[in-house]
Amino acid sequence: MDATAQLVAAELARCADQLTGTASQLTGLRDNADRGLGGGLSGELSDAADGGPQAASAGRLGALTAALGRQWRDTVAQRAAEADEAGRRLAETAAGLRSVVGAYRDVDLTARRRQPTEGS
Amino acid sequence: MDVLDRVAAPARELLARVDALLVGNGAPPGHPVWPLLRQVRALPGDAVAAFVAVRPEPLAAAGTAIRPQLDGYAEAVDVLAGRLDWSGPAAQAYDAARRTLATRLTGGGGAADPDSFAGRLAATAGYAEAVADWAALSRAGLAAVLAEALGSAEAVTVRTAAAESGWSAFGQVGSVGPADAAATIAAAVLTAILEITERGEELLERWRPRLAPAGGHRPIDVASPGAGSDGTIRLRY
Repeated sequence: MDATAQLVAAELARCADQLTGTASQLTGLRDNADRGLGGGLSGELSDAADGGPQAASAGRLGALTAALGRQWRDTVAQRAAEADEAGRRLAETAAGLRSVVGAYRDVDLTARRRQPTEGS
Repeated sequence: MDVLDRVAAPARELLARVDALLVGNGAPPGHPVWPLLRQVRALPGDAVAAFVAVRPEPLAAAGTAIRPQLDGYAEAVDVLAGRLDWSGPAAQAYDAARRTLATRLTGGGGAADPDSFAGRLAATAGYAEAVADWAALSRAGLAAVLAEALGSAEAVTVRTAAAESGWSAFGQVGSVGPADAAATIAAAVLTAILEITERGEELLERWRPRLAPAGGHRPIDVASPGAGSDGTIRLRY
């Protein structure tokens, strides 16, 4: 059981690291929304000097692209937090498992030490 | 560079004139552009400018980048599924913890539960891809409308009127004046913008519940030495 549990604990720790990496990567993806959706009021056409009268905003479409971007950023932040939580819990589970293995080993050693004494 | 990028520059010039005519002269009473202006709440030039800045590539790339991350959850659940040959309170605590955690990560089954971390992550990738698809399809549709507007008789009227000094926005009796032409172009462009907006709003609402924080949170009691009420550990040889 000892070796198997150690192996499982090591695998859990590896998975924990992987999910922590996922959290970092997701955080890095938040800016994609700004590049894909956040340029609603600074687009190519409105940059023109000869654009004539310009409305102060892009109206309903501008509100939509802002909402899509906000939803993306909020969602990615939530997914990053979930991946981080998953990584932390896996790491805690791995640590708990290692502790149990250690406790088993201590009990095992104690029992073996006692056996000759009790038998004599 | 897509089709919208290619028509954006000439459209910018035409729509600037269209916007100027609308602001300076209004539109004929009863023209279809009036309800469209109320619904879109923007002039054609500004609305198109806003949408030209919407690009599918970054979100499509984000969706592509997220998909492989789902493997992390699947692998973790595979490891958690491994049974250990032990018993006792600590074993029971570990067993409960691994089951709870596996359920939280993927739902515990083969396919990811939509309410699990993996399910929510898959939905996030799906959202990115759906927004990217919406942007790509909408850009193609708007480009077609702009291209048609650029080649229309109304565009010639608007450009000619702007080039002539002292022009009358309402033209001569029996002909289509610049104000009418501008309103017609504006109506066509705003119709496309309204369709794009409504599809986007529907997309936003449809995905919202699937992107909410993963539910069913329960605290996990991680196995630890002495777990269990009596602190005993039973060994199996």
